[in-house]
Amino acid sequence: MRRACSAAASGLILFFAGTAAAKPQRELQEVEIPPEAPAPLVVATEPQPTPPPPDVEPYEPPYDPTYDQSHYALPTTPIRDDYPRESALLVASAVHGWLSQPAGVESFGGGGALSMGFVQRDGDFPTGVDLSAVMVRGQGGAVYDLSFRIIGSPKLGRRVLVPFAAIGLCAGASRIEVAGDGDAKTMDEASWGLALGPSAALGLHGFLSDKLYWRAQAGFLGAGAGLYTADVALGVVVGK
Amino acid sequence: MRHLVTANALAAAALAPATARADSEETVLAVHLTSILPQEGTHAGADGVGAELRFFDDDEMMTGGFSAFAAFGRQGADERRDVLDVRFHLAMKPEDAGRVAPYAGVGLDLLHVTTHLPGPDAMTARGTTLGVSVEAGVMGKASRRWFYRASVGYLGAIVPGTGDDLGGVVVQLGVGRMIDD
Repeated sequence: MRRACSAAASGLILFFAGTAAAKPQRELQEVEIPPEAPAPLVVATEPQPTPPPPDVEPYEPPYDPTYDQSHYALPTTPIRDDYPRESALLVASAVHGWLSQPAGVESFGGGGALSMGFVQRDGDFPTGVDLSAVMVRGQGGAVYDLSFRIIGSPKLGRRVLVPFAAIGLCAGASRIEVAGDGDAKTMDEASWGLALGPSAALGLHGFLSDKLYWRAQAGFLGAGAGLYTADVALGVVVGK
Repeated sequence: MRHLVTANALAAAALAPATARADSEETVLAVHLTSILPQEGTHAGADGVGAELRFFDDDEMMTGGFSAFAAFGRQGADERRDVLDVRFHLAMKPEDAGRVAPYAGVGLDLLHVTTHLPGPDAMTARGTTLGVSVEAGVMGKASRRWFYRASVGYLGAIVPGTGDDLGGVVVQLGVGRMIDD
């Protein structure tokens, strides 16, 4: 059969080359085909070498809560994804403030804040916004600021602990009582005013339950006095 | 033929993660160390920390975002300045640069500066002002999740209360994570 195929192929090649008529045909010679080499002996108990798996990271498909997993033969781990994709929050905070003094950064006083927030729990960017009224009072004066910040955070989902950064603006009134030597602990002089300034914070936040939100952050309110702040907050999800 | 199939399979396996992340546009949440270098006879410099939200795309030449830092002035013979800064910035980098992307950019800064003047005429001045910044450096993706940035820049503003030139060289080193996965 192989010889027949070879002969046919040779004939076709010669025909299309136009040389079949020009050259005398050669007679086909018998070629002896050597017998196939015997297969190597394989011992059944000898382990066969397997190539190592390629060193690549496994492919993780993007999260899709609407993806239908019902076609899997085995039951998958149940994942609760029935949380809302976005949440409106009402948050109350306990705030402590520090002020820059000639000797260094010193404690200024304490107070509270009430915030209205909005977070996209599955969103990309921005993850949310926050509007806070901050009131801090101390022996050296008082700071009342309204702060608006954009929140950037990994997806919150139902997670309890997620880092975030909040960057924005603030406006407010402040009063600082200052002594002649620049120390704000006495009340020789007072300076006050209304100002606009930068505002930012870095912290952790998350959802303790379906309805309960928490946050801890350190940042600054740069209007008027220029206050460094740290606060711990609890909030509730408003609406669905 | 067998080698060709093996090579194809290995190539496909190696390229799979890259294909999965074909969407090279990322949002980065980063923290950075900031240092305002001192100017002898003017101010003693300042050191602090900051945060940054940055849009970064391997294939695009534009990158930008929001950042903020708080730098605490060093004690010294010169003025001590505490600087609180929020910045909106834009920068340009080479296209198709993901791992190592040299860049240069500009920013608009909203600043709060507290200045403590030493000596017999000691006083403290506080106030808000606007500033302009330029910076150059290198940024990129260190891995699938991690991002880095190192830059040197100049922050130009007038110090409220004293009228001095804030002008300072600002060095920043940052590291962050992609947050939009």
